[in-house]
Amino acid sequence: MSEKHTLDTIFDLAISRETAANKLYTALAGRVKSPAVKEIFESLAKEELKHKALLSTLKTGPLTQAKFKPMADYHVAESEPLPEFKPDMPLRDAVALAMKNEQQAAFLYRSMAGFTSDPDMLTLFENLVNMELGHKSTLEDLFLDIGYPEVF
Amino acid sequence: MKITMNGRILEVQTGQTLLQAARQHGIHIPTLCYHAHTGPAGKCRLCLVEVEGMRGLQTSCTVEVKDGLVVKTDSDAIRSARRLVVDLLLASGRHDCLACEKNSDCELQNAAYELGIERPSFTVEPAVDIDDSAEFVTRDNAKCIKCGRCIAGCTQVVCNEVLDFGFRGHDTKVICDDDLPMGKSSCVQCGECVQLCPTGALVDKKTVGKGRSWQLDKVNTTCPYCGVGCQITLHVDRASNRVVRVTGRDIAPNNGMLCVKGRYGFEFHASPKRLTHPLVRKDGKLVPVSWDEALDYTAGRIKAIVDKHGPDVFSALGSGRITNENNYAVAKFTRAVIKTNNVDHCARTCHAPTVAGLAAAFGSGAATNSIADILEADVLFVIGSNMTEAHPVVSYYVKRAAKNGATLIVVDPRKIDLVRWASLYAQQRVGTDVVFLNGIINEIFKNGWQNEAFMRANTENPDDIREWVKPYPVEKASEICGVPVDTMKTIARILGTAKNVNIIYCLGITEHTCGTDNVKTIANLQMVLGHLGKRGGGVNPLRGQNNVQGACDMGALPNVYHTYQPVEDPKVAAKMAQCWGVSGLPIKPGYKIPTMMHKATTGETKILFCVGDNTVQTEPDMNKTIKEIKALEFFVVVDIFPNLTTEMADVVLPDVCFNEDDGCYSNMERRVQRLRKAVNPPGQAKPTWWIMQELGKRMGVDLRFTSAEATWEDMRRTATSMAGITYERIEELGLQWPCPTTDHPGTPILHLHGKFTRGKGLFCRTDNRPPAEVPDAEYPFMLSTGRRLWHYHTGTQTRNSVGLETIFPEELLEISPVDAARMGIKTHDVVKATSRRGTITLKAWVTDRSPEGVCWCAFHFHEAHANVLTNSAYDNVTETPEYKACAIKVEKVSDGVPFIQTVQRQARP
Repeated sequence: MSEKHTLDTIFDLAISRETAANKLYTALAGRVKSPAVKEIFESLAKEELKHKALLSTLKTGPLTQAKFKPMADYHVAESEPLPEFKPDMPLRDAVALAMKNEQQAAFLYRSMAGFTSDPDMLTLFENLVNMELGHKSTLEDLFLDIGYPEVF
Repeated sequence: MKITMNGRILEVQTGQTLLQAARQHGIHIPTLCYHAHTGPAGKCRLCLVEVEGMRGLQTSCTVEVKDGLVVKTDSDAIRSARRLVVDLLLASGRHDCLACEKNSDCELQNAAYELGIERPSFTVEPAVDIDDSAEFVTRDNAKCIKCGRCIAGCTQVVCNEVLDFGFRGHDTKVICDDDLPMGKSSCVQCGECVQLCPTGALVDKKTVGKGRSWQLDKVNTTCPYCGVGCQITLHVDRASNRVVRVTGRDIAPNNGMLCVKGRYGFEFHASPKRLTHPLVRKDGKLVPVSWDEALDYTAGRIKAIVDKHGPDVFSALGSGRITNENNYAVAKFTRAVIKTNNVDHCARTCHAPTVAGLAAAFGSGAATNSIADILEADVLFVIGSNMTEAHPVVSYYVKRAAKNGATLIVVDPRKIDLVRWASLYAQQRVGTDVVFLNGIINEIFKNGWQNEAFMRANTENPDDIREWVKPYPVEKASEICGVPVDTMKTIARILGTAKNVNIIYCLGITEHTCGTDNVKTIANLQMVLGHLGKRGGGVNPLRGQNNVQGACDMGALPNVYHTYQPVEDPKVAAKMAQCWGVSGLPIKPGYKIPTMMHKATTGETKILFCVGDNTVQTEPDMNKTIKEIKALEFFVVVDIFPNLTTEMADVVLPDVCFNEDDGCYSNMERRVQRLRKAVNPPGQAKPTWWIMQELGKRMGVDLRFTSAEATWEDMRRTATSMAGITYERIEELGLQWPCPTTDHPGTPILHLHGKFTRGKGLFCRTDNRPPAEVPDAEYPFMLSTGRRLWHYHTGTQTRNSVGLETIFPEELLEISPVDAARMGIKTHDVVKATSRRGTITLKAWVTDRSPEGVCWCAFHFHEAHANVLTNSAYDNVTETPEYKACAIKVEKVSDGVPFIQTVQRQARP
């Protein structure tokens, strides 16, 4: 397999993940009862399409353009269990589910990077990990507002 | 930009002075008048430097950096000039270092040492001019170098505006008001001037002769008064096991500032009145016993009663005054050992409506912003908060913001001291907050000032609120709330057209039968204005006690574990059970305080375990509370002082106080901050966590409390929003929750991303509901109650600290001049105040702080206690009593000593 072919394969995998995530969030948005949760899932579905478009652009350009800056990772997603999907799931669980999804994506690319020593591929994986961590970080910030209510 | 200083190239920022740039890069330039808090003054001329291209020596505190400047901070010419400055300053006063309290802490002494001046070259003998009239601060004018730091601190930092320069030329000196002795002036003794004074001209009176600076250990900790959570340093004399001085630390939230209680109310820990031994009632009397006997007896009685009647006959009270660890210990004992959720604490009596109201609107009841954000608002809307007395350090920020140009609107039934700094004051009638606020919202809609974009994007029902406030046009609202129509219109305009409004409120809003509705209406107002999720805005309730936020955080509540995990959630219960190594944790929420107390009279509450609450004095309608406690089968009190509540106990266990053990408090901005052991506790006093561990052990459960830190770590294992906060991480500076992981930096502002905890904000309908008891022909006055600057809670701490009781020695009934004149009452006359529940006799204070028909007193003094009079009617959502409104009658008993005051003082006659 040529180097270009391998990089394309990774891009295709990443793009297919974004497509799958878009489908997942769209489906979830159609099944939940709360308008706020529906809105969150719809917004996440749109985000995934933007990520897909971005990756498609990068696939055809030189790798040096694909510079995602590393974000601080506070490991909030890692501190939460994966919530079970339910049509009446609360907003908190919806956001938790999404941030866990991004955590898993970052983990996947980080793991794949462990199987190569090719500099271009390492750069690509680094960018993909950073991209997913960026999404995770955004969702974690949202989770901070939603996930820890002071209620009694 | 870059400058060169002493040959070093320094990166500097625009707007910095040379002095600030030097300090940033660790280059020493001596100065006496400059302080980071008070800014450049250009008075002492000690900070002279050479700047290439400028003629003569320059004062580095006044010259701003410019790209390429070349500066020398040390040369023969500079030293010579500095030497002359210090020489003249030394000569101009009586700087007798040997006996001076500031010896070794004196910046003038340091400058003289640095410049090699042993004796001044000139001889001037200024007259001795000592002002010893104030309770806590001694002024020695002969040691004053006229640097102006104290004046800047008083007027620009804490904004009490008492000190100024008086007279001219050689006679210039620092004066209080119109040159009154400090003790007779309007000074509130916050001590900021002492902390900023570079010499011995201002010293803490109580510290004099108690030890040199180098002889005292310094222990950093958190102030034990109010919810601001000021960071302090205790100066400890190890030999006598006493704190002898307190200073403010230059970090958040107080940045060095303190109030009179925080700085000078420290001796209570060493009071001979402290509880020192466990006491058990035998033959009707409390007698000292060993810890083993007290614990065996207590555990045995609790077990016997619970075995016979079931766990729900047990109720416990944590406290807003004890540490997080101790509240967690009480809550865990109640749930894991007794197997009931009947645990509550004094948030029930103060801010429970905040949580209920804000949770309904936003999804969470926490304050949205940090204290320092106050300085970034352009409008401050303060309602129901007498902050200059109850939260003085917050008031410093508010006053400073107002002086810097922010518009301060104060809304309060009493003309409180903060009004002096307000651009606009509205005096609503007691209990009419919903009407007033709905009128304001109505007027905002009427003029199209609402933030439509925010409402549409971030709230669930933006059209409802417009309809709900329609019955409250300002003309109609004004008739009910008493605020003039024009004032309401002006307030609506200011709020509706502001860039950034910070809404601050306190117990004047919550302690009503409609407290939750009051809070919901405040949330409605802010969601209409849309100033949420940004710096300087938000809805910010001021939590009352030092750790009332933490007591909530730690689950000393009947329906949630620590970090607000619901007791009804089986997954949460299973998690706790597994981690704690127990089974059968109760799923049913427990009783709130009023319910647990009421059930004592029906036999459903048989045991009350009360920690640091002083229930008799803090619950409304004292006679009712006493009757309820008398109906208990077994009453245990853990406290630091004997009080009206310990007198009724079957067992009294001596607790440690804030400086006798490690731990942490959570302040009103969700900031978790350390407490550190500074002195040894008296006698056999023990921490609450130790008491709960020993009782648990005797009842078959190891709670795993081996130290304060171990207790915290035990809590953290099952926590959510505080799981990332460790003692190590808050060693220097506290962290604000949510902080869910040990990597997370904490969260100073909530809802920053436009998302409320519940997703979208919810407007809630609120309507006018008068207080449960209103004045009538028999009881014609409305009584409102609260806290005084000089005292705290039931007085156990402040009345056992030297000086505070001298300043404010007894409770006074505030009454308006109109009512007083009609009844022939003068300040200091003895009067009798009677409600349907009891009578107290006390002296009158005739003051325009009270409007006609309204009286006011506090609950600090058991001799004349507001809660003898207050009504136990409560908010139907949270069971928070209506401390702010009940009907009384007032009768004059006798004439008092004639009272003449030459200046209107803050917070006292």
